[in-house]
Amino acid sequence: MVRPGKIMVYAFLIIVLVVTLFPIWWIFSTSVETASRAYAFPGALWPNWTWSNYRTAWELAPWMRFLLNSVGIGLVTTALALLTSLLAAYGLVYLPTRFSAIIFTVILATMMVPFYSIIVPDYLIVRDLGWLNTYTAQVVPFAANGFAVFMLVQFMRGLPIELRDAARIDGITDWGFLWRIVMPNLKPAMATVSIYVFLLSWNAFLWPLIVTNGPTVQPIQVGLANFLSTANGTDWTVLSAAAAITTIPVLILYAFAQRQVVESVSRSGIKG
Amino acid sequence: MSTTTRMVSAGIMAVMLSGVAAGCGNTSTPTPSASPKVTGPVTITFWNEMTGPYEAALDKVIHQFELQHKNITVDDVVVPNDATLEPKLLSAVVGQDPPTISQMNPPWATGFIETGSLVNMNPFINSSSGFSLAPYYPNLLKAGRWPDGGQYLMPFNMGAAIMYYNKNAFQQAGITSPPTTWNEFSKDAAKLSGNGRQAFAITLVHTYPWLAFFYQAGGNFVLKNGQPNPAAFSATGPAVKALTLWSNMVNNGSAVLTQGYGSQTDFANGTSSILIGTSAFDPYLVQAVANKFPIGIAPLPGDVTQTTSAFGGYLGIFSKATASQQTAAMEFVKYLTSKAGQLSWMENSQGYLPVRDDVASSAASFLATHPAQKVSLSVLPNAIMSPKVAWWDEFSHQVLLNDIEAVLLKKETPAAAMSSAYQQAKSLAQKDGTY
Repeated sequence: MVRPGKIMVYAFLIIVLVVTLFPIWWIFSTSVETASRAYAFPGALWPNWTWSNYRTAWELAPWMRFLLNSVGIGLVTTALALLTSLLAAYGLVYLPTRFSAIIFTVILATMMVPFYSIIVPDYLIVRDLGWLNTYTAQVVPFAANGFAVFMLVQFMRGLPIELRDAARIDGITDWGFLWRIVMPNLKPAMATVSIYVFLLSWNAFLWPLIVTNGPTVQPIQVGLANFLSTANGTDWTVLSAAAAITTIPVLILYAFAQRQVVESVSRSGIKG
Repeated sequence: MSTTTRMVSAGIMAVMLSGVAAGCGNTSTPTPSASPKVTGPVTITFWNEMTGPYEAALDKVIHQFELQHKNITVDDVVVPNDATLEPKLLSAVVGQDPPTISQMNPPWATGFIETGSLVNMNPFINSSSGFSLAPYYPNLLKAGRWPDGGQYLMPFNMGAAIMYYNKNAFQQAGITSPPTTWNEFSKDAAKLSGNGRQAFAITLVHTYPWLAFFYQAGGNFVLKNGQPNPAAFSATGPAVKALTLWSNMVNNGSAVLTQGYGSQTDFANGTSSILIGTSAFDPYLVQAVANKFPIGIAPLPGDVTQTTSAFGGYLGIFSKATASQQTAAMEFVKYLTSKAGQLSWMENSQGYLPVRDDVASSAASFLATHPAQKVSLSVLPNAIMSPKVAWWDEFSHQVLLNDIEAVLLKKETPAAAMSSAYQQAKSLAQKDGTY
């Protein structure tokens, strides 16, 4: 016999599930709705299955290109940021000099400078390097990240210092120690940093907008904004279809990496 | 996003103007090349905000231009909206890497003119390969002309505020014709309201719907010297009068403030029956209403004057472009604003109006089936453009919108809101300059 308490728990979970999924259903049902029914009040829960909205949305913008750009820029930025942060953190923790504290403070200080205040100097640098309208302009400025260094330093400091001494006795070099001892022990921190940097890159809007001029290199956020924004109104059905097209790959990705995403968010206290 | 990017724009503008103050900028007034023809192949970059359906319409016009000008290629770069085009443009100007030509709002141009970044189009317009300004609506041209007499901007995509109404609702309420005065407007709205329905759904994405009422009350926010006009903000002035009309309608339940373009949703589903917008609202409304009721379109009701507000973008050419690019860009401006270009633009964009008075005669069949454009065109010659002073954009988007909203949400009285708005306008004029 099922206990009443368990029924209550399941009933509560079902309510939470419905409340959580309803907006997603609403986007999807609007995406296959006729325009006039989409504006009806109160709205219909069951749509009219007008799949042509997807064709219209698909034809209006190169969504696959935007998606691939976002994924590519995000992955490369994440890989580079992870590499630079690991090396910086390793140097600060295991190869200390009398300037280490100052360097760490400077790295932390970069987290306190609002990005908007360095847009112009960053733009001038990118322009002088001939990187305007390239992937490079969207990757390199974010290939080093103060927060990532801070996170990894904190985790590295948590590793027993005896490990380093033991490795030295065994003749392991710094590279070997980093690669064979430190990194395997830092997997949770590296996952946190990776997801943080990837989300930062995925959500970037103003910088890519300023340094790029066309869909060939632009990420999904800029593409979606171009599509959503008109000065006179919104075509909700086609907009919902576009939102669904761009959300589905992310939902699939999330389904595969759900555990890591949830853990990294709870570990770092950040949200996407 | 909008607020943040506008703050970014203000910061970048400060950097740009500080360069001028330090003597780094080229403050001479550039003029386009004297070369009357584009001799070799040239590519011009055109930044604009024509997203979604307008992008396809603009592509057609550009294609037509390229067919007629085999040597010129137009690289069309679409940016989502004002709030993103402005910081992108400012960064590019500061970085000495602007496009050849860009859509822009007149208030942005002041900084560009001060730094010598924008081309004075007069020499080209007056040259043998130039064009006559006579057919252009003077009120639209004026907003692109600066006190030094230079025509730095040419009007391109224009709309004028008009009234959409639900004909069935009007008939059921016993209203035989749309209101022509403020008094009739508020009385009709009251008749159409009740049972949880407010007749007038207010759109406040931009200030232009409210500015139409302000102008009708005889208002003018900017003095000839570019400073804020204290009379416009006074307790007995036009701003308070227009605000009082709207706030009274909200308070008595005949108007409702909506978010974003929620007013279009309210109108389409029949919970409101009056909507104020430009002719560019029309395609969205026709699609959303889908023959549920006939849509009526009329000029706005008047008060002291029978006018409305014009709303839209201008074209400016940057001096950083080569002489050949500047000439090609002027050819492009000439085509876009020509009779043929404007006719094609109006018909394909399904919402914007021509900027010259000789287009309507060639578009009789189009206008017969597009009443929104027809009504808008009838009011466009007397429509008033927003001021072009440098402080206007921030004042309009940050100060005025917030103050109107505060009054409609009963957080402030109209007089208190406008008194505060005046102080902020003075402060902005001091910070950003005027012309």
